[in-house]
Amino acid sequence: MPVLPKYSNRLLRKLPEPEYQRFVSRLELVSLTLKQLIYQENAPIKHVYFPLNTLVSHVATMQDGTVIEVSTSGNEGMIGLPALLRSERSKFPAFALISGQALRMSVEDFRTEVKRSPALDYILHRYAEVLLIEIAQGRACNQLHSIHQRCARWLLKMHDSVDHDEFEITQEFLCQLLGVRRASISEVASALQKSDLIRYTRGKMSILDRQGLEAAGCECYRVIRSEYERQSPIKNALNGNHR
Amino acid sequence: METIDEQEFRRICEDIRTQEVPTIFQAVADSAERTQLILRAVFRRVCSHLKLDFEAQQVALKDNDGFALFQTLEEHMKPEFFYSGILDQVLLRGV
Repeated sequence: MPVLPKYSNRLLRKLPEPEYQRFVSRLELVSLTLKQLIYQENAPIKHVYFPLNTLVSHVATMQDGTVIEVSTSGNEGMIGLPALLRSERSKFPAFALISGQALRMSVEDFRTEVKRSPALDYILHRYAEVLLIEIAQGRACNQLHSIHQRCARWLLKMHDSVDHDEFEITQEFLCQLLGVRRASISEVASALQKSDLIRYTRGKMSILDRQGLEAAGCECYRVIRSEYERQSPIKNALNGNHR
Repeated sequence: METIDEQEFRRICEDIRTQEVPTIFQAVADSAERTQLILRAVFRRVCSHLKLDFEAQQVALKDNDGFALFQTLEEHMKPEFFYSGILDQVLLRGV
């Protein structure tokens, strides 16, 4: 029996314990290095991933070469959701934004497991719903909220994903997440540092005041987080409500 | 302080792509290891261009992988440019 990893994937943790132990034992523990390409654009999905303490970003490249984040997943979710939806490909390339570990499984084994486990099937479809909510809320946030608020939201998401107060994130990757130029990132980081919420030096980010950062952000972080945490009891779902 | 511009960085990446990436792809199957080796190769050339000591820079940034490369670029680029897309051309194509 393989040793279970130190960190957890919060999505898989929603499984009933015996199923969790069985499913995780079938996953392979892998290390993802910064900028490692997980999926190429429109390439076949060979593996699905469940991040443990890393963050994976899907990006879109515009005609002028601008690269912008379209969705980002950490240990609250999975990478390779199209495989659940019977798609063979990832439309957008995905790469590791922060080095760390993940659990992975071949797409064939994954589909077999989903078929045999109503609980796994349920939590993954629920995750798909929550991801859509996150993308929609994120769109509203990008249009309505200030860059300071949006930056706070992203830093909180990263903090949740790495499960550590310090991590590395370059200005360019923050630019991709926020869809702004580097000068704006410098300004925002400076403001957050002046408020003693973060320390950001030579790409090393330290979260100093988690509560302060939540207060500095918009409501979108709490809205999205509450959707991830909200769950119907799996027993009730499996008794007929989820299909 | 020495600086690097987009054209210079593109040239470095193209040299790595043609001179070193094919060998790395043939010798190494693991995706994570390939990424690390390619980024390290680019980092060596960038440090050489900037007249920085490669190992000292790794120690200063407490990293021996991509992060040290990215942070070095951000601190020495002039004018600013987006390096991520340029690097993707190297990381994506083995041959």
